[in-house]
Amino acid sequence: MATLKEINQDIAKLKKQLSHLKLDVYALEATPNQKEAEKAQLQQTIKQLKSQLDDKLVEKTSLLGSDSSKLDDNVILRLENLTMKFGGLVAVDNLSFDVKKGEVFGLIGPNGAGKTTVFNCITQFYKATSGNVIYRNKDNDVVDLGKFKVHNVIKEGIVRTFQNVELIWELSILENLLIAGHTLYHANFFDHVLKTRRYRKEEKAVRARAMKVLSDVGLTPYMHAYPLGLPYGTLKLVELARTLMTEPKLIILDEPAAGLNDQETAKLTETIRKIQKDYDCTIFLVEHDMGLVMKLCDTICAISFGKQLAIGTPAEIKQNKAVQEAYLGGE
Amino acid sequence: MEKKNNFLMQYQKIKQSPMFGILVFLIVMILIRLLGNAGIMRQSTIDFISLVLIYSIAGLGFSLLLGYTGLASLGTAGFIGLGTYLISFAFANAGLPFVVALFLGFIVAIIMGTIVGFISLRIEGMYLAIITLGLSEIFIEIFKKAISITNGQNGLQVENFNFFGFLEASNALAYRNAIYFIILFVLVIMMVAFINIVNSPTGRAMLSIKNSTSAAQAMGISVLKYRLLAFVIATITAVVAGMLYMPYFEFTEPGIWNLGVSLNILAAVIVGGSKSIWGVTLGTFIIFGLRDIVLKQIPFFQENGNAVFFFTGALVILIVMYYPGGLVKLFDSLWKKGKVKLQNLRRGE
Repeated sequence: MATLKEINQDIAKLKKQLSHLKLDVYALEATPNQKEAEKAQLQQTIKQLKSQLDDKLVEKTSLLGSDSSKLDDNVILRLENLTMKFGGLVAVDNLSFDVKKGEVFGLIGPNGAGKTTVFNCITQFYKATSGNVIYRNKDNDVVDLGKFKVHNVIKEGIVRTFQNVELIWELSILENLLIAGHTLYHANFFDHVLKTRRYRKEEKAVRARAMKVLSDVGLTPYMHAYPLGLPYGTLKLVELARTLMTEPKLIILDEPAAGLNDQETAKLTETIRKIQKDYDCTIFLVEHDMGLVMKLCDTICAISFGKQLAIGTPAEIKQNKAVQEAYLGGE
Repeated sequence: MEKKNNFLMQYQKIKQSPMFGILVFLIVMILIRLLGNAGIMRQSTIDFISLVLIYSIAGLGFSLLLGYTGLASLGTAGFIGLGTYLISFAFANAGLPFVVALFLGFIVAIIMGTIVGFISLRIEGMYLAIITLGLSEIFIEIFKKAISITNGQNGLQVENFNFFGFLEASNALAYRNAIYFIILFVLVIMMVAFINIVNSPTGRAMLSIKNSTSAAQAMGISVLKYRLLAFVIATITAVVAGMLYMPYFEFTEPGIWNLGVSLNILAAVIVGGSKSIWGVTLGTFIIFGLRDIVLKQIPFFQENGNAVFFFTGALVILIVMYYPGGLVKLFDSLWKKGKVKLQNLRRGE
């Protein structure tokens, strides 16, 4: 019987192998209609490794016991009594809900309801005062996000955008996407300084990946442009494109439609739908534009002053008395 | 015919590469030294150029810190001073060879850089600059008080340096040449490393930390790691610059490594342009050249040496206000405008 340490080592090794192979796939995808056989073989190897990884994870859970049973199979993210206090102010108050795999989940609420704070707690920008954030990661392993450092959350397959566009203004759009692919690189600092072959190969693969993402969201013409001076809608789209670089399982969008006109919003709705389908991920968003939320979301959770008001389908939320009261005021 | 075209294309390709510029720079600098050997160039001019090259080494590290990671430090002079005393100690007191001394300097720089890097996580902007200034002052105080090693306020003169067998006592000219070429070699290596770093994920990560810390973190970039890295690189370059300064000028005293030098390096990086190797080199040349070549000819500045700071200050203000990208950007845009004008002229004919 293998010990937990050995299993963890094996898992880390397999993950590393897998991520190397993924880079090879990206590099190959850049040259379509060529090397089909090679591609198929790569996919085959990846599949094998993945099943090996699954076995290891099963072994791990059997050793640890309870961890995986915390989450139902179809749930990707669960908040358990999440509370966040800033001094005396309770921004998020005992919030619990599940986000299911593959859905578009909307979090709504009046200004200052604590929506962004919830996001920050999930992505570990804030450490929650109490409560848990349980998440089913890329490899189908159940983890407690509270134990992760903020810059390691992306490695588990969670990427977020920001309420105000947070792009790197001194870099071109393409380079902004390369930043988002930072975790795809294995080369270390010395590889960078010496420009070793290993690093150049990786750089090529990540660039190919960035080009693919750019063409997917229709940003190829802006590739070499700098963000400064581009229309706001385009910048929002760049932020969205940035999340796709690492093939995330959960994309967290903080007010994706803020500052967009009706036309742009309609286009964004389509893009989000397309992304969710093509990239096979779950989308969790905060939005004030009710039109977009009602059209896009499968499940909506309404909060006010950090407390949950209601959770359900868009139709149910529309009918809910408490939600109406919070938005329109009581009688 | 085809072969010739091929060759031309190759040449165009090479010309595009940043390494081409470095190669030209290297050749020019070697020529300058050879001219000096031939007696065509004055020794004082070559001394000045060597000083610029040395400060450029520190400037390149500093521009990674300021221009890319967005952290201001005023401790550069202290670290350069540390380098001068370190190499003096290694040679004169401990009798270590140059490579070992360099290695020792690296270790000290890494330790120091890590300490400051950790501080930078808590304190940012102006306050960080003040902390680093304080650190630099502590160094100066130590240089003054540790008389047994540093000879205190009187300054330290060391002449028996040994560079791969080159000794000043046996052949002064060969020794001077050896030192000059080592300085040049280190600077060129630093330039290549700088270009490689800023075009790599490391450079992009540093820039993203400067632009938006939260976006960087969300993209999986560890702020701690890259801030430490930036400080360690800046400290290493400063210490190495000091270790090259000492064998060339053979004299160091606590008074040289004051705030003025730190500010001058800061000014050089800002004036030249912090995001380009040529910007840093040009800026260093202008800031230190202004003092050593132009203003020293004027009697007023001979009497009031510190008045040079007025000029440096005014230059920094002008650049920050009108050309935040530095003089390199200015030349770049002038070059482009000139090209367009030339094309228009040709079309007109």
